Amino acid sequence: MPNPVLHTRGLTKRYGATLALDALDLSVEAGEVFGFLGPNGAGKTTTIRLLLDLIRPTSGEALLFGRPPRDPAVRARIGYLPGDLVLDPRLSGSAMLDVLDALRGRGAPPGDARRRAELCERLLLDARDLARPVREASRGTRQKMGLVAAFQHDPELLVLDEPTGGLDPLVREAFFELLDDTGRRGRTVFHSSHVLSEVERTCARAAILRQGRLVVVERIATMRAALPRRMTLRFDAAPPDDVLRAPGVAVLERDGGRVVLRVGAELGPLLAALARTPPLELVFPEAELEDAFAHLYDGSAADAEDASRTPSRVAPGVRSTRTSEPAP
Amino acid sequence: MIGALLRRQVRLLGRLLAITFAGLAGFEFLAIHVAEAFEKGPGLAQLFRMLPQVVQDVVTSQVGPVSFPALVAAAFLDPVPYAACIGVIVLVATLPAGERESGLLDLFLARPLSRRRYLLACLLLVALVACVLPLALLLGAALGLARVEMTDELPWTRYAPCALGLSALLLALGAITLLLAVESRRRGQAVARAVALVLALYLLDASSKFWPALADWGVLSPFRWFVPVRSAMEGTWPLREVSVLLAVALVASAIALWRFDARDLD
Repeated sequence: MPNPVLHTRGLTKRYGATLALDALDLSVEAGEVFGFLGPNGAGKTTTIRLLLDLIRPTSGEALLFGRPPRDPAVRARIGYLPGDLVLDPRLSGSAMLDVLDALRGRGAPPGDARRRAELCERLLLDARDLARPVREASRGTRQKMGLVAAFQHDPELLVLDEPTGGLDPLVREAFFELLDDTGRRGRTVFHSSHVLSEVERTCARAAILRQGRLVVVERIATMRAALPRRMTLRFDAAPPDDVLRAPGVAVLERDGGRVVLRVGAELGPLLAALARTPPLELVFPEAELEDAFAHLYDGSAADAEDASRTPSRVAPGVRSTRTSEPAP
Repeated sequence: MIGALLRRQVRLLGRLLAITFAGLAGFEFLAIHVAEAFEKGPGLAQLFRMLPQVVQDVVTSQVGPVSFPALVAAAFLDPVPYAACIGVIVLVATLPAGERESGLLDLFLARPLSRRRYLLACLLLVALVACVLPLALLLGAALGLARVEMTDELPWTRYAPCALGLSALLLALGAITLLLAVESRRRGQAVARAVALVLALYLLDASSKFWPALADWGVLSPFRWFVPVRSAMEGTWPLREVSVLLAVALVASAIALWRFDARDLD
């Protein structure tokens, strides 16, 4: 990957006996909207704090734009939204945004005021919200202020830690659209979240972290394609043996003519068998990334990275937590 | 960037500083009226001799011979303004611990603001407060002396060194507190450590004047180097003492900057 915007090599953080982050190797290319997934305590925030030089690595290194984050010039190119956003409760929203803008080290050019106004409009943050002291603002309003602060100088890299916390569905959708626009304009986004659907909605590629270790880095589409899927079939009689015994197929449930199969990536033999004995009904929903997420968090997975690429190994841990749509 | 941080901090501390400033000026103004009443009444020295010997010894050891100039200067180390000045300086110097605890520091340092610049802004604020508060006492003294028409007996050059000495003392204590704040994750922790240390240093200075076993250790306390009464009585600038206090401030600031730059801000 030539000249990644964000690159870590063996990035490790240890607190005494606790290993918070274990030899993280990661690269994010310019213009990528990259998802960084993991449950609470997986090491996502530790990684972000290392990337921003708020804490120092025990070993390994992090580079942003090819330089260590300790260099203030590097941080001038970043927009950051912390996971547990705190704004000065005594200042008004606009005063807080002014202070954060002033800490960029130069006077805000006229375009920035327009950009701030545009961001406020998109995120439904009105002038009255900004005029009030931050302590009087709701959590959602404070989060919107944090988003404006992160985006207002149009940074080349956005580091967003749980950015949708406290946002109502309308604003959340506006934020997703903002993120799409940001990606389209060639900006890089590092979107950390434990909400899988958000990352699925906004990112092309994602890394999954578990207990400080990188489990997988993959394109979302590839992750989904590699997952086993459920197929529900209904026949007018007992399901034929060549369907049930097709390679890569496992029977999950069977009730008379109805059968639920777990199907791997190789569909050819199964489809051939179905062509010989067409079912009355076939439901074959798209695989959900959440299945991969659930599996990769399963402590029983010995080698999660391999598992995500090999459907037959993913299968034992798979559980669907979403309502499936019937295939067309 | 330092300017932006300073403006914000001054704006947030403005009310506290204004109230403390007015209180200190008013205190000194009233102290001069009380001293003038004694001076023009029964006479301070005569009144002082009526006190028990032990009290006379304590007062003499702390403020020297009792006189009108000594009382004007003594207001600079009266417990009330003393506690107010030190309280405000501790509050200001523990700001980094407070902003670290709240998470605001993350937001600031994620911007192109180096840790050194951030701490330098805090140090400048401490220096500003260390200058402004003694100025309040100076202003109160000037107004009080003008009011009792004693500016000829006690010109400003006699008590201005008291303000300079107090500034240097506050700067030294502020820098030490800043160092403690850099090493603390919570503001409460930083304040508690600073108050305990300041109290210990004060007691060390006070007890070293009575207890021969501690006589040599008194020099380790910054309070030993604040000599307002002697300055007012002799009308000299305490340059040696101020230099020692500034050196303490410089060393503590340098260590604070080094530690802040090196440590994890978790």
